[in-house]
Amino acid sequence: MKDLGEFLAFAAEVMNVDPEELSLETRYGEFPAWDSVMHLKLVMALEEEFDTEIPIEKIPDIKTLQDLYVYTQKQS
Amino acid sequence: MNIFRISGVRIEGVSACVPDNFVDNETVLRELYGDDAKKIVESTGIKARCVAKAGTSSSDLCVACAEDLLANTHTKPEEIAAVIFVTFTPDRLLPFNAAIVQEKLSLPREIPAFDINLACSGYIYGLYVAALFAKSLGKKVLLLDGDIQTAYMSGQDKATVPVMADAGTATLLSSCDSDSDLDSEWKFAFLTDGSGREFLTIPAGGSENPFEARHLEIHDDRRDVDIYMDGFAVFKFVASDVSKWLGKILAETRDEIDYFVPHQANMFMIRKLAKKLNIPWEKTWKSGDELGNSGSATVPVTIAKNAREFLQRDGKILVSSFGGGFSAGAGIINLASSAYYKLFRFSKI
Repeated sequence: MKDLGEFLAFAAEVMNVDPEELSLETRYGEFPAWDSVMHLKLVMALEEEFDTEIPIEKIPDIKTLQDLYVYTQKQS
Repeated sequence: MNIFRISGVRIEGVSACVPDNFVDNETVLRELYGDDAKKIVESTGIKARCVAKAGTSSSDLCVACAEDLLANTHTKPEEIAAVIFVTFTPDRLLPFNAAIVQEKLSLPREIPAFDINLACSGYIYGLYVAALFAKSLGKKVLLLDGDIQTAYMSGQDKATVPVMADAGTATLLSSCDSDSDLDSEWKFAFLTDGSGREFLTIPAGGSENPFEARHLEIHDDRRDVDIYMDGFAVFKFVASDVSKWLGKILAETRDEIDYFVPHQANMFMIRKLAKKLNIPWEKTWKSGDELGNSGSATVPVTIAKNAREFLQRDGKILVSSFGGGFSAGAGIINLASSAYYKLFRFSKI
């Protein structure tokens, strides 16, 4: 499950929004559902779903869904 | 890196209490997040928080702990040679809490009694200062640390409501005759970055912005007299600065450490921090999942909750806390298995 569509569907499910509202440009702090607490949830859910690990020092660098999507690709 | 060393002191006991009002986080967060409440609880790892009833003060909680601690360590009030109170939520702006507890606990009048105004990093500072006094005076020092954060928390604020809680603690330090024993040496380090001061703050009520009626108006889900926290900025401080800084401390001391007691900011953050520091999760003591984040009191609360279970023998503990300022503190201290440790519920008021 590293397909972009599936990734956006995954992010939409975590944020409880319509996948149509999301793109790789969707940005933390600008998209209403993506606040600081949801940021933690997104990272945690992604690690679980994609069996990957995002180091703590890299988490603040995640500003867009593109930044998060990269980790699903690394895992593959 | 500046390491501050002190030896010839020990902790005789740590007593902590939380308000006997456990709030189920998912239930409360349902009002803010709707069906996402469960996800939020899963992300912070904080299932419940202890919230003081209105009118309960930080000295109320800490005095209850001090009474328990003095009684169970068979310490008379007249043996206390100094009292230090760490809090950013004192009973009143004036006088300071240490004066209030001097009277409430019938402590001697001719002792140093003062507050340390710090947020989450406060206990580490308190420990170092208390240790200096205990060593200097050759007597017992009472360190109190507690906050009623929820008195300054908007019930509508999605940044603070999921995590913040209340607690009080008391720690008794004394001097001991082990100056030559290197194992007894405590080490401390401190980190401050005032450029982060706007990210965790109470904007109004201080001398910069004295209280006015307009500060009670709600905007952006909070009043100006409530705590404002940019959770992402705080996380970034811990992730980028504190994790590297603690890594440097551990580079020289890793072999000494038996357990890690971090500030219980949220369970996700401390799990990530422990992972970064290569400290096993099972050696990391926790309390935030069951009791919430009570500011600087989380470290002594976590010690009181876990010490009796983990300390089959004396242990070398890395304590660290971080938050408003930005500020962080770390200490490598000894905890004796024979010392007194207790966590209880506060039900007065």
